[in-house]
Amino acid sequence: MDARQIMGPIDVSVTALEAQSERIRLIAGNIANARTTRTAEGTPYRRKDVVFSTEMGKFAGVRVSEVIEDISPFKKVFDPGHPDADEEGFVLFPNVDIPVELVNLMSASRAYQASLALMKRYMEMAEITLELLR
Amino acid sequence: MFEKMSVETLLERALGAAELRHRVIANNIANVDTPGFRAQRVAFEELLGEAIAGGDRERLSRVAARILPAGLAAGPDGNDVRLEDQIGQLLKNSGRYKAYMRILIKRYRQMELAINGQ
Repeated sequence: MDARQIMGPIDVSVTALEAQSERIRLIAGNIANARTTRTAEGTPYRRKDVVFSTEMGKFAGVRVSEVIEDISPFKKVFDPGHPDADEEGFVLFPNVDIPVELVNLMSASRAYQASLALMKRYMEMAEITLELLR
Repeated sequence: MFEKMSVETLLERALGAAELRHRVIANNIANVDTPGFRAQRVAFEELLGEAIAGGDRERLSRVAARILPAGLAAGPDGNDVRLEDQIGQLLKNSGRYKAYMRILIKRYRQMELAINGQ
């Protein structure tokens, strides 16, 4: 194996766990704020997402290069009784779709589990390798 | 001069390839959601098979693990990693690693016995 490759397979899997964890945190935030019409800034909550990136050829795993705000439009709902309704009676709700967030949550969760399985297998391989030294 | 290819050398090379393959799989799985990422694979056993079929002793001694693109169909975001496929590869690879290592350990123990004469 190339001696310049400092990151072992465990480190690679750890980057995946960290990246997917951060993604899951953002998804949880989106779900929790799906009906937040007024944040501290006074505007409706805007959906957040992660951008994953990697360095090809380095086999160093993945990282979250950016946390971005979804620029798709807010949802306009007619509800004149709502405290945040405008002059025409419309309320702007966050651009969050719960079904979409749930699907993303499942996807992130699967990727997380897969990396855990990788680490477990690698530990089994390492244990047998240690037997060589007995 | 042809290098004499002992079973131990072959096993050690196969183990090195399996280790590398594990890392490549780890990287593929880590990047399952990275836009534009193309999965890779490690070729070794098949290269070995080709060299053996060719009957060339020297070629056999030069077989080394190679990292190649997996060459799968990409999804809409340019990513071609399929999690199920990678998990399957992971299980096969770790199984092979353990098998090779056990055989190697056994051979080393036999050599020890032969040397120590017990």
